[in-house]
Amino acid sequence: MSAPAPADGQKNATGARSHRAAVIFFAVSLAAALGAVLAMAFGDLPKNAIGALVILLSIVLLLMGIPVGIAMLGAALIGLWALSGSRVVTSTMESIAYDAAESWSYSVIPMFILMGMILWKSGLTASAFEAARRWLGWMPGGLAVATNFAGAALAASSGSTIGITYALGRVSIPEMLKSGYHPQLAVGSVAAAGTLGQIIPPSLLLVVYAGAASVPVGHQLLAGVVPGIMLALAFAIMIVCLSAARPALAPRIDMSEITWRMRMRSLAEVAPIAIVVLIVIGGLFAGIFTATESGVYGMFAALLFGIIHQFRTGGSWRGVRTMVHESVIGTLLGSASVFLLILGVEVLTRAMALSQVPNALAQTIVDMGLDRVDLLLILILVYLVLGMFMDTLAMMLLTIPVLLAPLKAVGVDPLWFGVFLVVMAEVGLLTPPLGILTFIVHRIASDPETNLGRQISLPTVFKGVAPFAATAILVLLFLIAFPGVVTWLPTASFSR
Amino acid sequence: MQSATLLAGREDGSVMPQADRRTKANSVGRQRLDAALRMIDRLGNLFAFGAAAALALLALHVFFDVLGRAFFNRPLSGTLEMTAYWWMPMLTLLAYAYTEQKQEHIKVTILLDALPMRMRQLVEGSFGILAVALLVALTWFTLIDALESAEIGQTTASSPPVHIWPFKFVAVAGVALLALQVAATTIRYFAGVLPQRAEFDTDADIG
Repeated sequence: MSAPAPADGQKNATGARSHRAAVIFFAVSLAAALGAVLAMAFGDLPKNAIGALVILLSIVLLLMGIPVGIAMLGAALIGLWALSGSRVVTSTMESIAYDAAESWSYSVIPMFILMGMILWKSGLTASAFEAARRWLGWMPGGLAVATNFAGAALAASSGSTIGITYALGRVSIPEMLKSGYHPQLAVGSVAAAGTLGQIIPPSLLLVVYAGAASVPVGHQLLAGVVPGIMLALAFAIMIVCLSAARPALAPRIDMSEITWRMRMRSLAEVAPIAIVVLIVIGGLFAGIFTATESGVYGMFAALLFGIIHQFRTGGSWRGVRTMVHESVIGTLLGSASVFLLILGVEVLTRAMALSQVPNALAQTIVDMGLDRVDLLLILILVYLVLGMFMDTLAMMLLTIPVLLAPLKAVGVDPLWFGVFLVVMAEVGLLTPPLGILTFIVHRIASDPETNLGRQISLPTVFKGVAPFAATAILVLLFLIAFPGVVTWLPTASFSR
Repeated sequence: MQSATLLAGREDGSVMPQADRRTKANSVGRQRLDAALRMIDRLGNLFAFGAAAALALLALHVFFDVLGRAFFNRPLSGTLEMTAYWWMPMLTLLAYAYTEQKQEHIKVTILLDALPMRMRQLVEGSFGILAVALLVALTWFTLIDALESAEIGQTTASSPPVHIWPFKFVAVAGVALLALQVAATTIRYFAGVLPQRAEFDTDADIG
């Protein structure tokens, strides 16, 4: 997705100088693209070089504002032509539009999106924060901890990071500011809670990864469960430690008016979410459902609870209709944007395979004597940099075809790498300058109703998310040391 | 957001001063262009309706398949094939154009945001033309495949076989309309109307 433009004020201040830099950068990349095309067309290049040029060309094209999927398609087609002639290009063009969409395992994508949209639009997700507040509010930084675990619960019922962030941010940011929390902690905890969305299943990124890396979708989703819970725990521990060390960051809140009866009642409010989680994750684990089936049944459960919730809160069939309409539209937009990307990636993967770049890279890594840990540490740095400038999915899908072979060569389990990649992708959502999630939290916090009249600047939000991004990377280091943490649940499951 | 009216709204010349200098003949052409753009948007909405139908059919199909399997020991035959070969292509391909209309396709605008406005229009417009050319070619080749597929009455290899070929024409229609919609976006770029993304509220994100 495109990044929101920076605030106008910033733009004017940096003015002409940044314009000139951008124009120069633009001219250079255009020249590079042209050079790449000419070299592929007329030069007698080795296959590896063509593969590298294809990657370069797709990056330049996607920077020019055309949809990423089409940019990849264009670059990859030129590569295919240079690698194996026009027949391969025409046969690819004939089949790709239909073939990219025709998939049983990817059919879980629209269902997961729809399920999350319904839970969000029905207002069911709003109760999660209140329940977590009543149970966890007493801790140091209790409201931030509550935000975090509410995020984890929502992540287990929905695959939408932005949906979760919106649902949580609008309720929890004002609550935290009212209680005297430092804005940095308030916005940071909301953004961090959002990142859990793609790691704890149902997660679209894990599904897309599973497709691109040819691993079973059910297993890949289950692989995200334990690391997701670990990440939520690590965030919570960090919040508690920070708040205990600096009480001014998060003053203790008065919990005396919260009775056990209220706590129990709040549990009943979140029961629908718990049931949806049970259907999806439990059904997958027990092998009752395939991934798509779990998505369909989770979606119908969400719809049922959503309708009940609408009527209980004084809604009517009109409200239900609006809820379904908005959810369906959101699902169509989300699915189509993912599948256009998948279309581009499938052609790019073909070009990569023919160019032998992945094999050459694998060979180089083995020859250099890099082992699993070295390679993964390097990849953390690579993804940190890529995450600053690239869209999450584009970054994942551009690198999977290249990296799978080298990773296998050093003995990295593809299921494990899926989790690693998704955590890195989520960190990329937080880091400047292109941290989409940070922009969204800033946008939520710019609403006077949310920030209670206190201006919260973009740098504040970036500062607020920094400790969470660092914690996520610490968790990754732990996973590198103990890879079994990721793989045992899928191995223990009955998932098909 | 009705982008067609946005284009017409640019008549005030605030972004494009040269619009003032347009002749009468030009404004007739402009009206026709507006009508064409509106038509493309309407078609996009219509196709999105088809995609929504496919979404519902997919959900119901899988729902009853599991019910049949669990309680009557009789799953619906061909669920897997129809989901993969019918509902999925229909659901995604028919929503392509609508998604472009709402500017929800995944794009990277970090470089464009830093360019001067005029240059940004030019860059987005010129690369838009490239994208349209690519999509027109894709439509053409998809059509060739669909015609071949129809001629042999292509089915899946499963038993019972499930017809595939009609849905290859759905793919042709989807890609063709996407090409038109990207062309519409490109015209809007040149006219100085940068399409805005829809609000995040309608955004089913994937990241």
